[in-house]
Amino acid sequence: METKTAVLENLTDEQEALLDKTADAYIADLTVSREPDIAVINRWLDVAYRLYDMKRPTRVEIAASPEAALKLASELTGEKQTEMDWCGVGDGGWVAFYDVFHQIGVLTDNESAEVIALRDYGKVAWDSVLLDECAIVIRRPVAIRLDDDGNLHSTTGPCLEWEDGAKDFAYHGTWVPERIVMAPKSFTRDEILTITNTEERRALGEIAGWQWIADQLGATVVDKWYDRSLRLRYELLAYGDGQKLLRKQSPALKGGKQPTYVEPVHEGLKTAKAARKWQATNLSPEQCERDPELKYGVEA
Amino acid sequence: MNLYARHGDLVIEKLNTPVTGELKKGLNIVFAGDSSGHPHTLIGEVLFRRDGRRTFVEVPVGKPLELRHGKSTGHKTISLAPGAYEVRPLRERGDGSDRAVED
Repeated sequence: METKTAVLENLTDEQEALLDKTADAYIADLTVSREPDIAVINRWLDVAYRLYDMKRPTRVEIAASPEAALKLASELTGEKQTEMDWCGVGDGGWVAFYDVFHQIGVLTDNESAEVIALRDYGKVAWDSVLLDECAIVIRRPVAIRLDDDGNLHSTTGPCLEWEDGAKDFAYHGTWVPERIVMAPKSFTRDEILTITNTEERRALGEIAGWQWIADQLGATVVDKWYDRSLRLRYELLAYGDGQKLLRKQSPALKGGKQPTYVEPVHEGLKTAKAARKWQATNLSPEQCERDPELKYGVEA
Repeated sequence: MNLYARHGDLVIEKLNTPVTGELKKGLNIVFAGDSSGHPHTLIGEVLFRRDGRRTFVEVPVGKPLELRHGKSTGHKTISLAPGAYEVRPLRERGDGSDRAVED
């Protein structure tokens, strides 16, 4: 079969504008909740199974949530299933490119048929678990909440709500336990200290307030240091019987934000500057206090 | 004291000698992947060896390799020039011992 390749050397202004317009449309569509359309679903499943030289199974189940899909998949296979197949709304990032190529005539209707089938599938399906005997299609959530940067996020409730009542919680794109969002100030001093994931600790600190965290721990500032080169603030906090925390400002992230983190450091540290060095080395607190200088070639 | 770089919760120390021990070839290796789902990924092919939470890496002669953070609004991408490195998480005080920071 003869293949003709269409090549465009330059995009017109209208085609350039179409790039942004298509991206915006895909992004705006992410938060739309839709009823599953079985014709659309089957059209893509035919393609997906054909890629593996298989036929679409006669059994197609619509799952109300990822949790429900994995439960069903575990029952059907007799083994605990923990992974989905990354087939659904998450494909929009690359599907959008081919969608544009189709719209501007670089790809024919025939050449783009399969990717368009996936595009339409993503509009009704969050993800999938594709088994030999059964295709499990996860319907889109009934509610999705994002921050201004498009990350899954809510400080007042779940960021994802599913048809079966399942809920997921995230803070600026980081998955967090429900309690951090819904009852942040229910954490006791000991519970705060057992959170080892600094992103979770930051989420708790920012939702409950760092001052509340410091108060809960009974922490007081014992030393401050300002890194003039990067304009970053460091504070050494003490609580309890001499335990220490380092409160530090992040270098500017990609979006320009500079979140604050609080991390436990060695109780023998006396200055914020030495605590910063202690975190990066295997030196003792005493060694860091004697010579707290530490320079990075780059901090990001 | 000078260190090559900090990338979020990772410290990158340039070594003066090649990495020793049995090295594996790896493409787009990930450092300190953690439960927050924001791994730091070194884009390209390298030789490396894991030792607990530390990773020893040889970036081959040629172009510098990018170290990218998995979160779209996360830490900015930095470059690692050809050479030998130890990559390790920042440490924090744990119960009875020190543990690595997870971000």
